[in-house]
Amino acid sequence: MFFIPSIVITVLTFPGVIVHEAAHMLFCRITRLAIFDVRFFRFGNPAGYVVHEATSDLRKAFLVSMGPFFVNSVLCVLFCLPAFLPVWELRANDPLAYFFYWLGLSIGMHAFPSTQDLKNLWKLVPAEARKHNWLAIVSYPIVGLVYVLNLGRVVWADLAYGLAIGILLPLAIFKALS
Amino acid sequence: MRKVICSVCGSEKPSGDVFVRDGQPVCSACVASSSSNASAQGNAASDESGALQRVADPTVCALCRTDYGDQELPLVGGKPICATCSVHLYSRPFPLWLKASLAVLLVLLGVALWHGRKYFSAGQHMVRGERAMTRLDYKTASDEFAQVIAILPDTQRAVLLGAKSRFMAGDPDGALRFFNGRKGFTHDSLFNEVNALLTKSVHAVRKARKAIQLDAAGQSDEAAHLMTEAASEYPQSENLGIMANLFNGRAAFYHKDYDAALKFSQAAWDKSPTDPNLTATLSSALACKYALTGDQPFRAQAEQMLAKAQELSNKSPQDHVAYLEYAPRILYRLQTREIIDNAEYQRRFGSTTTPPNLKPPTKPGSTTGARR
Repeated sequence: MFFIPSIVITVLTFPGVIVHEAAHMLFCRITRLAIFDVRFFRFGNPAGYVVHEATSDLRKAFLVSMGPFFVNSVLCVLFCLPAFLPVWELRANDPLAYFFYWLGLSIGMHAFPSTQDLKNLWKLVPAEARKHNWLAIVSYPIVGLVYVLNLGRVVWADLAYGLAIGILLPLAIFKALS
Repeated sequence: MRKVICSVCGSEKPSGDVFVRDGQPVCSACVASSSSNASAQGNAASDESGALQRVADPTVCALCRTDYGDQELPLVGGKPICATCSVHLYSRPFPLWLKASLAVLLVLLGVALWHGRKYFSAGQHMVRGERAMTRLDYKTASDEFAQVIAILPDTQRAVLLGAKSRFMAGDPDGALRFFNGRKGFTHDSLFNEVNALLTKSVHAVRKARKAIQLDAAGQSDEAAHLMTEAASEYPQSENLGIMANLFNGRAAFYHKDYDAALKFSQAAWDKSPTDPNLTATLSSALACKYALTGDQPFRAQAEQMLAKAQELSNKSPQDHVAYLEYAPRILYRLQTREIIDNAEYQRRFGSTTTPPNLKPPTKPGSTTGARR
């Protein structure tokens, strides 16, 4: 395992940071949560943030916390879908394809919600699950898995996730269509 | 604005300017004063003064600091926020650059999908080709890989798999056509595999050519031996396998081993039953067996095969010419039960001479058909 300063990774994958924070903001607006402050990108830790009103509504908390995860993942797959064939399967020397692949992976790498987002969500889940709230029940494994993956960032779990959904998912879609 | 009396100095202060320490209100001036005293004594401010908590004035907007007198403002995120600021917080606009970036991103997505069409098409042919290779359908596979190369000529994997499919189909010429235009290859495992096939096939084809030369020179034993070697070196080539059977059958014929001649002729015909020349060769071998044993079933089969050879040869002028050359010889063998080879037949009757009691051929003979 080799160490690369996180700021370098952040700068190299800045589109993902912007998309992540924009998705946070979008879901805050959709769920009518007040937004106190937003930084879409900065040279620091965290590289971006959205300070928003806290909520005890699990649906709102889920959307705001997990929304960027789904938005970034979908965009990653969409950009990687047309680019993974020339890059991985056909080994074509096409700079445009590599550009789209970089864009897709950058967005996919920043899909994970922050630990703080997950903690906020996790606080609400047990009580709601006891009330048989289906979203809380579904959230358990999803949030748990993402939490573990998020911890794995130190061993490049975010890159691994980006590569997985940027290669395996497009490959599965492509093979299913062929 | 709400006012609170400081528990330290006793003065009345705006509640926004007051902290709570150990449950008592303390104004900011007294907090600052106690902090500086603590610093002078070398203690941390927090050690002396305990935890501080700012008192929020519910009548003053936490964002714009507007004083609404006695009117308590609704709390947003735990802070008193006025209606004007509240609208901004709940519908904070996306910056223009972000909207523009989103538009660019969507355009790029469109470009990416449009740009990827050719790769998608090439990739589909690639997957179909690989699937055909798995089920040993080399014809379909090579067609699919050719389609990939038509779209992306530089795709090494398609070139190599296309060549491999032709090698496996026993078509080295077709395999070499896949290499056309390709200058260099990355030396991976597939390249090594195809390169080994190329080397093997080239070696086998060289041996086969030498065998053909020997056969033409009348050295049928050596030709059969060499052709058998070529066929075993490149077993994927059905043609070499057929040629090996053919040459072995011919060598057996010259040794008057008609059982072996029939066995090899049958094996060659089994591999390509629609080939008129192989059909005629089988007919010739059956005619030999009839000549030797007088068993009618051999004669009937020989005539049946000859009729089939005639039917098949009508599809090509070249095959038809060949048929006209060998048919009288086979018929002569069936009629007279005398086994003579082509050279003897030519010596007796000449290439244009019709043997007695046989329907005359319309054209002079060729040597492409059955030679026995």
